[in-house]
Amino acid sequence: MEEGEVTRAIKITFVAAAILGLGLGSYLGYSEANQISNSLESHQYITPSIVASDFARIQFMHADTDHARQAVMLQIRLLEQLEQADKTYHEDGTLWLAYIRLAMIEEAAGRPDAEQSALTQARAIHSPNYPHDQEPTYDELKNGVLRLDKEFDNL
Amino acid sequence: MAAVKLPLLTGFCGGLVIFVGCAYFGHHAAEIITYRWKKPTSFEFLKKQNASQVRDDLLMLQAVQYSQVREDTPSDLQKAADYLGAIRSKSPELDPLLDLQIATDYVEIARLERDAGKVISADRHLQMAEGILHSLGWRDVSGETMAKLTRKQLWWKRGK
Repeated sequence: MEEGEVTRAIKITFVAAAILGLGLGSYLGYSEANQISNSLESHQYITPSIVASDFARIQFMHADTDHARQAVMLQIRLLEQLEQADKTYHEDGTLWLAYIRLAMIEEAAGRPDAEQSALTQARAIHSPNYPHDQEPTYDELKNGVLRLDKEFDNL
Repeated sequence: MAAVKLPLLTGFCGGLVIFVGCAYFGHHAAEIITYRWKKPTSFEFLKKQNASQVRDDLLMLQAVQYSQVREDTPSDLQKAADYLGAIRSKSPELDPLLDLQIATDYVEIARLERDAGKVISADRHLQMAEGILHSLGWRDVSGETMAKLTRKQLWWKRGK
């Protein structure tokens, strides 16, 4: 084999190696990133809903009724708008908790009508999970929320 | 090309190095392009649904979450608080939420400064946090209550 031919053969080998390397690397990179993107996309609403939920919980525990109501209403609005905008999103029980908190705030503020309204909303969200005779009472629900908040507080 | 000795070995080794190098480069490039194209955590779906206000709110909440996981140093926390202060008022309804996070950052800055012996600066940050918490309707702004604010963030950061 002549030297020129050898050089050309090596050049072709290098170019082929570069094309194969780029192709394989790109395919693997795309597959991995696509898989991770899909996973992130399906969990993208978790972070903001946790932030809103934490804010409502903290304000509920420490603020006066007006500010606590504002915080809980913010959480409710966000979750409801999100459910409306993206049908694939299903909140994981935080909306129900928010309505119980709202009922407790209205009770503390001495607004029985608003309290009943919030409680009705909470039951409407919560009831499908329980048979009618096993539905928890308002006191049980309130105690549940307070216990949950205390556990968070002691983290 | 200079005269090639041992052409088989040169071809194989050179080809292997080029193959690995190009595969590495292609992998990273494809990853970056795919992430930029898909934007998995920027709520693109809501943009398509004309729910831009919800999307903006979610992005703000995401910014709050990112600020919660920054390095636990006064300078980093100050940067986080400054950033939240800058995006404040973009969605007035979320201002109280941002304010609470800014207050939390100030409480943590004050703790770190106190540990470092910078008492005057620590007191100043604590007073700023107290002011914010009062404006958020807090009834009790004692040191113990305020310290609880940062506990969750610290718990998370220690777990990192």
